[in-house]
Amino acid sequence: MKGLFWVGVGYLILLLFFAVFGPTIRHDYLNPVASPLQPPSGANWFGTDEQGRDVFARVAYGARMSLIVGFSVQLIALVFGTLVGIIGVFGKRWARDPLMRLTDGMFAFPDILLAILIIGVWSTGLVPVIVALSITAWPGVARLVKTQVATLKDREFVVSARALGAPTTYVVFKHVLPHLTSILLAVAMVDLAGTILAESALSFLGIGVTPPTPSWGSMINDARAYINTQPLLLVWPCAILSLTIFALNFVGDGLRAATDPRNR
Amino acid sequence: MSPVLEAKNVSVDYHQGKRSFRALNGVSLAIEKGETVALVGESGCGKTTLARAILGLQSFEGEIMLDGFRVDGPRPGQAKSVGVVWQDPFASLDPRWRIGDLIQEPATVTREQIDLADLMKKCGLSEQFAGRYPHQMSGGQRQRVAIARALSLEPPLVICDEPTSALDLSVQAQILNLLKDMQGDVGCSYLYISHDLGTVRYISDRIAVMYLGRIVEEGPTEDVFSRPMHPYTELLIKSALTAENIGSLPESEESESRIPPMEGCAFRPRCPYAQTDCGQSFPTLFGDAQRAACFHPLVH
Repeated sequence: MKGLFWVGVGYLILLLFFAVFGPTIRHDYLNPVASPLQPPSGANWFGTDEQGRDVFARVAYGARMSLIVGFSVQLIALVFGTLVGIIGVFGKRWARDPLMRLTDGMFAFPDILLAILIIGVWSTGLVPVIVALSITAWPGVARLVKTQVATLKDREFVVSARALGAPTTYVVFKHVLPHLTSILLAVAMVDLAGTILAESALSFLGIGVTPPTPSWGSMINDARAYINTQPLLLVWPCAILSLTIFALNFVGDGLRAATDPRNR
Repeated sequence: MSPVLEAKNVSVDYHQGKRSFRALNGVSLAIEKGETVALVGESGCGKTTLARAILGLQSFEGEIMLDGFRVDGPRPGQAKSVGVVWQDPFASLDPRWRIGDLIQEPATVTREQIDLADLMKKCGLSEQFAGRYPHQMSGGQRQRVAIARALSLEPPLVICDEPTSALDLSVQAQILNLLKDMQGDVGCSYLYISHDLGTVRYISDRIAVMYLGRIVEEGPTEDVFSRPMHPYTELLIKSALTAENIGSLPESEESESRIPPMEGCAFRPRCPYAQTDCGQSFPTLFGDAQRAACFHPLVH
């Protein structure tokens, strides 16, 4: 378990460098640099696509898109979900009950369909994708935070702080939230995998990040047409997407195991 | 001079779905300045519920005046009026906080200044502990931290909720003496909640005995111990574990119902002296310095 965690961490660090420097280090990711559908070579490490663009740079830019979308969505979902979860326990009844009904109601929608609906009535592009995926991601965080906070609320050290007459915000920020950071981090890692997968699915369906900006999903979709002539074109984005999902799950599981009190 | 704490006719109902359970039933209790009042009774009789009501953590009917304020929810700055030493110091001290910060927290919350080093010294804690975490200390040291925290603002009332029951016997006496010393230093009153009659007899001036949400006997500690008026008090004192009586204690008391009878004295089903009139109405506290809620108080 521990070995896999570090393998995952190592992979994610490499991916981060890949996403930052890969898109421009050798070739531009947007314009043709060679003849189309070339196999890998010294000049184009991953070959070229149907328009003669460098696949290495495009996969790297796809990584950048996936990470931007993934981290933005997780950040928004964490902040909003944590807020809702805390209100769900400490809030006044008029705020608490409607928010909790809303949270429960959100679980009734299949995530990807809800995201498609939001993008459908709004628009495609980076911002709509982030917003749509955030809306599907926060209820899970809210439910987790709510159950965690509900048990923390009755822990003696929290009661002890409340007995001082300290304001609820003080108690929440000083004695409740610090105990949630590790479990939230672990869950966010696993959820990040889901978000990246969902972003790829949206791009695959052609309603994600607007072309010609590359994304793993749209690259997979484009490569389908050349599966017999240049199958490697399909392999690169699929492989990196799969490896990224694996790595995030390894890291998330490792963090969860480390925060599990039974392993202390 | 008005008492530090005055609870009048306090009742608390716990609701569970449509059913409700009366955890406190018309409890009245006053604590004067500098006095130690012990609240005793078996687990589940409502001792801790009363403490929670005093702290504003439990809604109740009736009236509680604490340090001149009417209790209605936790009051900002109430740390200056009341401190608490909880039963289990490992649970009541935030494991992510350093000892020094924990002791200073009441001051931080109320924006007061305290002399941390002096306070820690008085409580028998070396200054180097300030940077440690609770799990790096022993149980007795942790309870010293809890006492330092409760007394840091020198509040007129300190609630001690079974402060020694989570500790080794050898440490209990030290903690009791620390509580006594600090009382002499600060001049505070204690509400000392316990089921351990040995420590109660040692530390308290007055004693209030609770049974199923009511105070059934109240009076000066020595009088109550030497001449209990209520049969339940007598039972409690007799059941205190000693080397002599350990084989002859009454058994299976725990299986008795927690739900008091609808009418009459709540202790009637367990009372060895129960008579027919005990089932007709509930007895109220009766007497002068030592009072008992019993139609047929014991005569010595």
